[in-house]
Amino acid sequence: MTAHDIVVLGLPGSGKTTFLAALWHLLTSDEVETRLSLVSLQAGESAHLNEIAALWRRARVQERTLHAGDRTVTMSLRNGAAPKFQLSFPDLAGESFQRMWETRECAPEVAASLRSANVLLFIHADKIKAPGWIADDAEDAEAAGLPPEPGKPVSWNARMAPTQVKLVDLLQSLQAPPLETGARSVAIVLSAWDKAAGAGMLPDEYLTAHLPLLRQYLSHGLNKAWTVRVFGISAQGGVYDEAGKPSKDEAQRIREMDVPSQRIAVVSAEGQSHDLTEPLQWFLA
Amino acid sequence: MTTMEHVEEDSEPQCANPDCKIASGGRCLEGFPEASACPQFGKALVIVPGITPTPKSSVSGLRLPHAQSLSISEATSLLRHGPCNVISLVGPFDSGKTSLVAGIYDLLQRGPVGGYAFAGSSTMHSFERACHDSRRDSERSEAHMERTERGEVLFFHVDLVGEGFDAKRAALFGNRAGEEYTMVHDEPDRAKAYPELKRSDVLTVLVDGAKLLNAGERHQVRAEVRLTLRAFVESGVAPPWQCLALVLTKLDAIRKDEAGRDGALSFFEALVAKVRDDYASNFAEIQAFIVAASPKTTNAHRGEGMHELLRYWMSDPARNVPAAIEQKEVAKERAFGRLPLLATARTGT
Repeated sequence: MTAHDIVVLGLPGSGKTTFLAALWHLLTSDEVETRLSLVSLQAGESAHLNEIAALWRRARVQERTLHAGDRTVTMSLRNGAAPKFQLSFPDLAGESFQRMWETRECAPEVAASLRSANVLLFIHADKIKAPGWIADDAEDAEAAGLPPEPGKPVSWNARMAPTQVKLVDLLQSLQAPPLETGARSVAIVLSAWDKAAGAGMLPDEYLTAHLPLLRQYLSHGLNKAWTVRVFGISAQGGVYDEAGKPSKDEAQRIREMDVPSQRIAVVSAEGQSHDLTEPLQWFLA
Repeated sequence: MTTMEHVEEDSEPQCANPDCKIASGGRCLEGFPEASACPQFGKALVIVPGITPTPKSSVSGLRLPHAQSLSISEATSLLRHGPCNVISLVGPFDSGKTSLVAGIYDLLQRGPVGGYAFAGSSTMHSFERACHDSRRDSERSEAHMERTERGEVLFFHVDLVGEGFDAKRAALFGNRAGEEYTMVHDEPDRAKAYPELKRSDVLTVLVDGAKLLNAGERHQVRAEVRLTLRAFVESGVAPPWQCLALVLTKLDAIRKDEAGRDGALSFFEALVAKVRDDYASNFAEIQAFIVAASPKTTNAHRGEGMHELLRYWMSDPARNVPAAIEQKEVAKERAFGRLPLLATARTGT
C-alpha cells in the first residue's frame, strides 16, 4: 500500500489537535461528502483519535499537546476510486517548534518528522501577535490627547517575537541544513477562520493583511520548487467550553446542531465546504 | 537562549559610555574638551552585557543555524552564494547606526520597502533584539537603541527581491561600534583593519541630526565627517566604484526644535555640498538622505526617508559596471603590417 506522510506544524495553540479531532469525526461519521474517505477504522493511535474526537463532539476545548514526537496518527484512506493509501501525521506539540526558534535546536524525533515533503502549517487566525511600535503608539496617544504611559523596561526574549517572524524562521529552517530535504508542498491553515471571516477577506488576503512579512517570504523567499496554498479552516465552528469553567451559550448552540460535521468550514480560493480532507487531497494532487 | 540585563548606576555623574574614562580622570572619548558639553556625560551608565553564546540544551538535538549577526568569515561565505550589496554604517556613538538597520527590518514587518520585498534573513534573532527597545513589548515610554559593543564588526543580513525582479539580492549591513570609527581620525591607517569598508558597495556616513541643532556641536560634526572621509580615502579603503550616502538622522529631533530646524537643515546641505566638492572624484556617486528610523517624538513618522535610502543601498553595485576602455589603433612598424590598412583606404576612396 502506498504511504504518504504529512507533518503538521504550528506554534502552541494553533489548532493542530482540534483539526485532527474534527478530521477523525468527519471520516468516521460519513455525515457529509469528503474528497478522501476512510478505508478502515484500524488506525495508528485510534484510542487517542477517539478521545479527542469525543471532546470535539461535546464542544469541549482540547487539552494542549505537551509531548514531542511520541505519537504518530496513521489513517488508511482512499481518494475516489484510486487504490487505498496510508496517511500518517505525527501529533507534535507546538512547544517543539517554539523551542526551535528560541534555542536553535531541534529534537531528533521532531527532525525525523520534519523530513516530510508535505507540510500542514497551522496559524490561529485570531491569535496572531503583530509587532507594535512605541513611535506609532505615541502618535496615536497624541492624536487622542493622552499622555505617554511610563513603564519599567523589559529585557528582550526570543519568545516575544511576532508570530510572522517565528513562522518565517520555521520555514527557513526547513530550507537549510540539517532539515532541508528538497521541494515541499505547504498548505497554510488559518485556523479559527470563523473569527476571521467577519473581515470579509479570502484566506490569502487575510494572510497578506495580517502577516505581511510571512506573505513576502512565501512569495519571494521559498525555493521555486515549493508550492503553497492557503486555506481558512474553522474546525470547531465557534467557542467551546473549557474544563472547569461554566458552559458557554455558543458551545451549547454548536452542540445542538443536528449534523456535527457541519460545524466545520473550509474556505479557499475555490470556495467553501465542510470537507477537512481538501488540503490533504491537495498534497496528493 | 540568550539573555540581556540592564544595570543602571546613577549614584554619581559619569558617562553613559562605559568605555569613556572621564570619571576616573581620563579624557572624553567623544573628544569634548569640556566634559559637560558631551551629550553622554552625566547620564546614567547603561551596561548591556554582550550577546552570550546560546547554551547547549541538555536534550541532544540537531543544531539549527544560530540566527545571530554574522562574523566576518560567515559574511564572506554568504558573499559567495549570490548577489550581495555590502553596506557599511559609519558614525560616532549614538548617531543612529543600529537604528537604521533595525528600522529597515521593522518597516519590512508591514510590507515591502522602497520596492523591495523581504525574502529571508539569517540574523533574525539579532534583528529582533535590535528592534526590541523601540517596540511596545519593551514597555519603554520612548524608543531606545542598544549601544553596539566594541569588538569585531558583525553583519546583519537580509535577502530582498526588487519589484519586477525574480532573483534575491542579499544586503549585508556592517555594524561596528562608533568609537572604533572615531579612532581613525587620530590614526587613519586603522581603517585598513576594518575589512567591511573596502568591500562596501555603499559607504553610509551618519550625521547626527540632534547635534546639528547645537551651534557648538555642529562644527565638530562637520569636522568628524570630513576627517572620517579623508582618513578612508588616504588609507585606500574607499575604492572608486564605491557609492557614498550621507544620512542625516533623527529628523524628529530637528523638526521638534522650531528655532534651530532651518539652521540645522541648511548646515547639512552645506556639508553635503562641501563633501561633493571635495570627494566627487573618489566615489562613484554621492547622495544625501534625511531619515527618522526610530523617532522618539511624534515630529516625524517612523521610517520617514528610509524607503529612498534602501533603494540607494540596493541599487546595482558600481563595482559590477565594467569601465570602458578606449580603443587605439597602433600603427604597425613594418610596411607589410600596414598593408591591410592601405587596402581599406583604397576601397574607401
